Amino acid sequence: MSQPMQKVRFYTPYERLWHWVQAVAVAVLAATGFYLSFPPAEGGEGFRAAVHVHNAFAAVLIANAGLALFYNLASGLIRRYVPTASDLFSQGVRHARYYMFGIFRGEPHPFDRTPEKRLLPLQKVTYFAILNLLLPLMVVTGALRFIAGHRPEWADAFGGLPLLATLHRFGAWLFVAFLVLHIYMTTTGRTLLANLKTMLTGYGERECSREEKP
Amino acid sequence: MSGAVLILLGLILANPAAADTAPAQALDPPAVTIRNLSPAPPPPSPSMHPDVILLDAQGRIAPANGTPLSLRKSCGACHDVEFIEKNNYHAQAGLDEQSDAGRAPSGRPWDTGPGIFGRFDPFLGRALTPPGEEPLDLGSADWIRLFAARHVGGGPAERSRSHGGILGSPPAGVADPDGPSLDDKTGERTTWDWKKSGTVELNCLLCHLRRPDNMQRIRAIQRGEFAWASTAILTGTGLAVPREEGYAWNTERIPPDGAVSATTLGLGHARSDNCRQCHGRACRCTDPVVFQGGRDNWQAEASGSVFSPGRMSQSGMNLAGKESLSSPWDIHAERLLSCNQCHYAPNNPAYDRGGLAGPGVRHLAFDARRARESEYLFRPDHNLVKGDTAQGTVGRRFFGTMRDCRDCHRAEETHEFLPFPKTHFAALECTACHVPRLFPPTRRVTDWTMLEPDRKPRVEHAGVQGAVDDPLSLLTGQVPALLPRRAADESVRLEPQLLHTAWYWVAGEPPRPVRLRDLERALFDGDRYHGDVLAALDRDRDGSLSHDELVLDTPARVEAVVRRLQALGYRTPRIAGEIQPFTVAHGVGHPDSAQRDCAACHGPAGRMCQPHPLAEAAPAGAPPQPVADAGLMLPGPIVPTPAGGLALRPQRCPAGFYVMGAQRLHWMDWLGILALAGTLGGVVLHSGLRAFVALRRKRAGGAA
Repeated sequence: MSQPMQKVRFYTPYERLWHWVQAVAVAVLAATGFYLSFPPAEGGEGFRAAVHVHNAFAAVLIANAGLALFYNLASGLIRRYVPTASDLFSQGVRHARYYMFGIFRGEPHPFDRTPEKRLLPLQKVTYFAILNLLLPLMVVTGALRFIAGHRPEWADAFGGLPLLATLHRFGAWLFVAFLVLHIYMTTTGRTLLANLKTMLTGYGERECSREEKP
Repeated sequence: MSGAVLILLGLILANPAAADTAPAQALDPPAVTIRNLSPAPPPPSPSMHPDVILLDAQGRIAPANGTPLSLRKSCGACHDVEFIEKNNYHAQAGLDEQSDAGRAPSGRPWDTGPGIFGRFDPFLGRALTPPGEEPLDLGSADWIRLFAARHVGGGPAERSRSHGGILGSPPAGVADPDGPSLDDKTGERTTWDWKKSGTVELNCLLCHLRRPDNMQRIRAIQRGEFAWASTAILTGTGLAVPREEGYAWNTERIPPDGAVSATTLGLGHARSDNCRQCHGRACRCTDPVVFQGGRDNWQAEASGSVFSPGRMSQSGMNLAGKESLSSPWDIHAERLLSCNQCHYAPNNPAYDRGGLAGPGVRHLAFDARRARESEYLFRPDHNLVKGDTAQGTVGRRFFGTMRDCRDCHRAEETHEFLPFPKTHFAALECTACHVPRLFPPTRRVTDWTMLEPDRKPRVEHAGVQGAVDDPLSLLTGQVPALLPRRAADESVRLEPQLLHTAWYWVAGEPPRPVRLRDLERALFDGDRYHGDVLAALDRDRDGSLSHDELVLDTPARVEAVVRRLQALGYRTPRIAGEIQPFTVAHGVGHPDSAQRDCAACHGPAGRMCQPHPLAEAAPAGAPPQPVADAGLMLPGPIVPTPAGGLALRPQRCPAGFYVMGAQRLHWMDWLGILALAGTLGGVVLHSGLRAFVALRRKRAGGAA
């Protein structure tokens, strides 16, 4: 028998602002990056505009990420992004098994999300990889490409534009893949749009008095 | 200029012997030139130069003795002509850089130097024969006559490449190595009479006379009257007049002491019009630019150079979109720059800043010591500063001594619109964007493997619809190929290049070019093509060879000519092909006409991705390769086109350059695409299963 639901605040206004700014920035970067990599043959002013827009939103993304890093470090909330060994193995396997089998059998979610523990095991592992590998790869290669416009020798010291650009684009493909998966995973909440609403309003529902499942 | 042409024409008509003795190739103009239609220059301004005493080679008064003028003696009275001649790559023409055959930077097995003396010119199809070799194509005297229009004298026109002394004066007991020559009429080997002809000394007046009579100078040289060349150039001043043999002094205008004022001579510093005597149009004239037949502008046909202030829209030519071409042919000319303000004498105190080319003392950033004006005027260094182009192969040690665009322009301050400006500046020559299109029709192909009925090679031009020398032909212009080239300082940049592809016959081992005269004998039987050649090439069987049939495009057709050459005694004749790039260094238009559309390069239709046509038709065999001393790095293979021609097909990342939007997918891209596709597939599968299960559950619930 299901427990009664209660409305709980999952995300602070700053966290939502951070998320949506980052979402817009990533979307614009992906779109302009694709345009720059595969421009139309007819040309025009679009290419130059795309470069400037791409650079501007890259700055927004980096600034936003930097502020978030400061916020999470200063508040100590950074810990919730650090996966534990059990997140990686036992909990992670349970989590994966749910998406592979349980979700089709109508089983209840194996983990109860709370405002304090709102990241699930596989989320933690994925975000850890994104924030520590993919995002730095994109930021460093992107920044070096930008700096190369003013100090070409800097890019040369890191393998030159052909290598930096290829790595940047490889990271972009992975980022887009993550974006697709991330958006899809929002539909695996209690309802299709429940998680999306939570990120928009900050508030979500959870069963009110249940203990965390073993 | 047209007057001079008429004079020359009249002289040739009046003197058939002169026309006969001139080598056929030397008189053949390139198909395209740009002629200066401006009125005669204004009278020279008063000069501070002292009177010049006209002396002959023995130091006597030349007009009084009726002897040829010697500039070595006359100018040498005040200037160190010996120094000027030796420090002068225009005069040396590669004589001071001679090597054994096959060791020249070009990589051609018969080249003996990097300059026009010793470096094969595929436009002319003649090769300077290495010393002591047979058969003879060009001996020293033949070379002097052939290159009369392009060489200022001195260097190899005066000194022997074998013994270093004056031509015709071999060491005692030694046969003259410079004696062998080819008789123009018979093609037989003869011995040149240097005592009769004299030598061609460095002609100071060609560059320092206000109105040099270059046509007379060329005429004298081509007639073998080498010693008279310096006198001939004064014909335009009225001080000398041509005779049936040699020249006569107009003693009525010359005082007995032979002293002539600098104003009378029109002496002065070298002007652009002087450069034009050999390099083509270079003037400050404002009259319409017109392309027309002549041989005073071979450089325009090769590299598309037009250094003129005239507006393209006011050109006399049928340019495509002419009314919108408001830019001058070269904005530097419009802004009153002349050739010698960029290509100056390196020790000219007015230009020598003592820092750009590297000070003599390593720890000095600026060397304040300068030659005094008197020292400079006594010994002006004539190794004029020069840029670094694929075609300027002579005097390689002076490459890059010229101030380039960045030394005069502050590009960063005017390119705010350009994303990543320094990346562009580091990767591209300024001309890549500032000469986006060239309108002079330039030669793209010279095919010496078959000859036209008039014994000329089959040629193709780029950027023109119709006959190249017809003013009614539409000049569509062309976009130069943007190709990586390794410069003398080892840097690699993308430069606009015009590619000239040449094919010609070589034979023997080590290979040597088949002589043009022998090729004519192989291909022709009298005035008609030889029967074997006709049978192999006459596709429509009409008994004659049309222009389109003059291509050895199948092994069978090649073999037909091979057999004819073998019959003349040539061993293993085969076709050699080469690509000579010509770096576009002039023709910079108004900034508004510069390339600002990113898609011109950054996109699938960009210059970096599109195949670049090399030839509309090509002989069968291995594709041509760039000459070794051009520094060109082909960014892809040369492939045949469906129409039977050749094209350069660029690949990704030429020479390490990354051109955003123009790159093909890297394997890492494919890996990323695979990850994305896998994710999308997983999402579709997962969501589909969820929907299916939910639907089934809903149906099951409904049924219950």
